[in-house]
Amino acid sequence: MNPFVVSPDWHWWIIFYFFLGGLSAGVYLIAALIDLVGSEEDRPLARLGYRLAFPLIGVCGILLIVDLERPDRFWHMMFQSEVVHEALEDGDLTLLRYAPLLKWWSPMSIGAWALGLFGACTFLSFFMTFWPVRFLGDTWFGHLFRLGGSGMGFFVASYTGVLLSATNQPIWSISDWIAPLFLTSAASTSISVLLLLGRGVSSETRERLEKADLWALSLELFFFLIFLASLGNLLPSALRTAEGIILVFGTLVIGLLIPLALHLSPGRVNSARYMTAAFAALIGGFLLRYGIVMVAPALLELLAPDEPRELARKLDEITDIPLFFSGTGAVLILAAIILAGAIPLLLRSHWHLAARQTAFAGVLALLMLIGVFFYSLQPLAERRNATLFRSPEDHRERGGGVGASLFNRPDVVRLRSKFNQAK
Amino acid sequence: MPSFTRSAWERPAETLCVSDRCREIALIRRTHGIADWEKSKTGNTTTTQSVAEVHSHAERENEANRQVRIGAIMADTVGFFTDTTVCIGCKACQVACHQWNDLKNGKGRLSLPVVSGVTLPKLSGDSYDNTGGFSDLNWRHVKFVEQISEDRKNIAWLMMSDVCKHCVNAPCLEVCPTSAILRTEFDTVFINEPACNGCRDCVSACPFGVIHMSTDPEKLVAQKCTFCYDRLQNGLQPACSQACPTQSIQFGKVADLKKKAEKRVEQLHDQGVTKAALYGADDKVLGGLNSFYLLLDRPETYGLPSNPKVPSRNVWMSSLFSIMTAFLTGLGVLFAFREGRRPTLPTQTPTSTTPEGKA
Repeated sequence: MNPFVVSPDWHWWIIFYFFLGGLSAGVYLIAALIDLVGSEEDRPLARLGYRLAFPLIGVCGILLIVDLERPDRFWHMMFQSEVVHEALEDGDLTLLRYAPLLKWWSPMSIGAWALGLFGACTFLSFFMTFWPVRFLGDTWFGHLFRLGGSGMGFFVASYTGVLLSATNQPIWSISDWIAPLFLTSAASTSISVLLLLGRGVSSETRERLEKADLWALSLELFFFLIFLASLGNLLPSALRTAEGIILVFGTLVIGLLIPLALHLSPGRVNSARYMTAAFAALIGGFLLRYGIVMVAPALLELLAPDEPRELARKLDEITDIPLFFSGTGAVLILAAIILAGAIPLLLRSHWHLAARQTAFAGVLALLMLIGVFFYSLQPLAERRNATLFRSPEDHRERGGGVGASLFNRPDVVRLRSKFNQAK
Repeated sequence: MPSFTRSAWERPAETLCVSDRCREIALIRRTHGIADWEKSKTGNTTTTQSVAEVHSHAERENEANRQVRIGAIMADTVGFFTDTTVCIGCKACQVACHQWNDLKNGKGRLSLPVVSGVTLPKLSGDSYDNTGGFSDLNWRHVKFVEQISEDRKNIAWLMMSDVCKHCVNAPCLEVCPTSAILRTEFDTVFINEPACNGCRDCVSACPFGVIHMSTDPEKLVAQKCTFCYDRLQNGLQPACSQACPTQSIQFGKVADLKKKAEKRVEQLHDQGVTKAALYGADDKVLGGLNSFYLLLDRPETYGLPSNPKVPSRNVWMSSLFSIMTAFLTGLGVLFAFREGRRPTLPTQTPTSTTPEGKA
């Protein structure tokens, strides 16, 4: 836990990007998977997904560009600006082959390319939905395209979580489980959107979608509990901020427990119940993004006014004591135990699972429980260090490749320098 | 000559200078560099001649320049050793930094009171430190860590002139998606402003809270200490270390500075100051900090993280968990929708083939 960092001020644009990007990726990957394995009667749903994904990702692109301090330089994410400038100035466009820029260890760099590729996939699929024939049909290339497209969807849905983890901000950098959480949340929120908008689909398709929804919600719940445990003893501090409360209770209650309860409670299943569940899941998905993005600066603000020695004492408390020994930890573990038992049993009765299938759900629940216990018992100080993986910059020679290189710079770096002024 | 091979990093650089003296210093630095390089290539130990020889050959100077650029020969890794025990909090370094880099007065993004159209400086009210912290306009910050006794009768200060650490494994450089942040030939970390697009990933990655976004509407890019790159290129030391009246900030080759620092710690230990310790001198902190410190208390007291980490440490694990999650999520969707392919669906009783086979 490092409270000496500065918040990057990623606010509403980014929160909406995370939410809409997740939705776009979610609807696309579900549509692609349905297109891949579903029956003919499920096709309208896939078509709906394709038609939603492209406009949504288009909006996301705008959100991301607007969020930049220099929106005019958005293309610098993918191309070495200095090389491009030089190529244009010299009129030698062959130089542009040196321009592409990809740092595989920087999620933002790789994400920019992934968004581009995903955008292309969604664009193709979007326009082909207006074609009377199914795009690429049942050819192997068609299957490959759908598989690849859903893969891109998975990537776009989860890389934002990796991006947050690859920082030094509180909460974000402490947990490795933000990306899985974003992914499952993307699935559950996008299924909710499909349920809400897919009024024209057959009742069988709707039923299948609801099953998938139940699965995604259960997974999200499990990952959310692991995520909370993985915050260690920082969790109680996070709960002292409004954003932390929104994150934990907003997501847990509105986004997960209410939809699950509506799905799994006994009684006749009607469309109003599913609509409410879908709305709640959507709101919960948004609160999850809002909470995670905003809790980091809130925590920094919470710890900022402390006198240095008091702060050092607090930090010791956060890093050295496991979550297990706090009241919050006890409640979390209790909740995890109850849910780990209840979810597989409820799934069994609702989905009419066979014994072996129930056992599979039970194993997942058990794994979740092990995860929660593992993180609750481990103090943050004992988390793996940077030494586990070598930094891509470690021992890199100056001038040795993208990143450390001097490539993306002009001949002479023109600083606002007294030297230049003298000239 | 024109082709891409000579472009960008390979084209000989213009020498920036204001005076013959600057040019002289720069030339000597480079010629020493090329002498060492020649030595290592040929095994020839009589290298002193090349200094005089190169003087008469402007081409050799350009070649040296190029070699430094592409890393064939290295300029020495330079850095700061900040001995906080002798810092008197005069802020000369801050002023020198402002002056040299033409930084405006103010606190950057922190809001300041405005009276009759004049922006007033803001007093912190609880400390003699009124700068508050780093900002886009304060690349150096002299910290005043007030230590008040329990009975509140005595007060002692720890003072420390803080700056970008120019880390060996620099987190900001690691995440920068535009390659605007680069490592210079002096092994310092530098933001090439024309390439920065203001994504603020570096701000989130810096474990020391050094980088801030510019508030100047003409720039709006990431700002931090440049290690006076322009001065280094012209054979001068950074403005702050030159201005420091107590030699609390010492500039030099990092290897030399480390030796000096160790001696100083030994000296302090002999004098009974057992808490004196170096921060960032070894490679435990981000592979080493080219600007390292001698501290008299634990790093947290000075507002420094004791165990800062590189951002990429989380990438592999997060990705692995994501792949696993993608598999599980996809499984659910596939399971739900594959059922639709079966010819008849009389009841909801599932056959045991689909999910188990997939799982």
